[in-house]
Amino acid sequence: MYGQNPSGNYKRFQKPAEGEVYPSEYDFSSGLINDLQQRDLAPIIVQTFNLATASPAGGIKLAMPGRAFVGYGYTTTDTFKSPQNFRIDVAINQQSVANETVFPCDISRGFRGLFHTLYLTWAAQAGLSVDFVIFRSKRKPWMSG
Amino acid sequence: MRATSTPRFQKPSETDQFPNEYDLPTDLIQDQIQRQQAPIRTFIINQAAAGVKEIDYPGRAFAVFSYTGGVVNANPAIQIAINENYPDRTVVPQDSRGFRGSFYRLFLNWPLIANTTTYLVIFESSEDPFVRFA
Repeated sequence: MYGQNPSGNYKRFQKPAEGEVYPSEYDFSSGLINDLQQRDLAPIIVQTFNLATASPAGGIKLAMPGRAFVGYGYTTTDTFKSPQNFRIDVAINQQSVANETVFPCDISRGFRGLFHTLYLTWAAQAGLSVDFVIFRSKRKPWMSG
Repeated sequence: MRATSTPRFQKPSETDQFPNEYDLPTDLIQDQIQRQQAPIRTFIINQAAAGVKEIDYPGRAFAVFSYTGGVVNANPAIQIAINENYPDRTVVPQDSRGFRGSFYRLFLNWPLIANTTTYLVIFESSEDPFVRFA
């Protein structure tokens, strides 16, 4: 029948319901916004490191649980933080002698999955800094580098 | 999508906890700590000499990240056979690329590339494990 799919229970040109609320993808949950405000909850945590000198022996320990992390490198003196290549090794949850838990964090490249502790180590990289971002949302974080 | 009678401008509950998308499950974090669980397993390959390696380690995805003298090496030319060491199950991933899907064993075969170190990272999570924003 014209205007219906073969199963006959779907109207292509449906009449909007009057007097009922339509659950739009653009609606925001006021409960979520209120919860964010009340608990002063930050969706990300940013740690900035100057890579001019090598990391301290044993690395930097970040005991900050999260669901994803990524680093954004830039020239230290660049106010606009244009992307620059860099290199940090990030051990996830634990360190090992053979570096078996290390993820090589590179320009705008990171890891997604729940973790509780990160250990950052790097060699000296003259003139470079990195904004290391930990994401907390269970949704897939996305951002153009 | 069907219309509902849910009020559009709802009043936040003052007594109930809201299931926030930013909440982290403490039981899962505790489980990781108690079992000393790491979500990845990394094998660092020094390509100063050619070699082969069998990795009996199950995972849900893998990727290779390669550096020559500290600079990204786009093509480390490592052959990786998945589950069984047959040519028709072998991939040769370039830098930052790999495979996603459950497997139980990998067979590596790499050529000599001077001053090159390649990371093979095996991901254990059932979720999409890898992010690149650039």
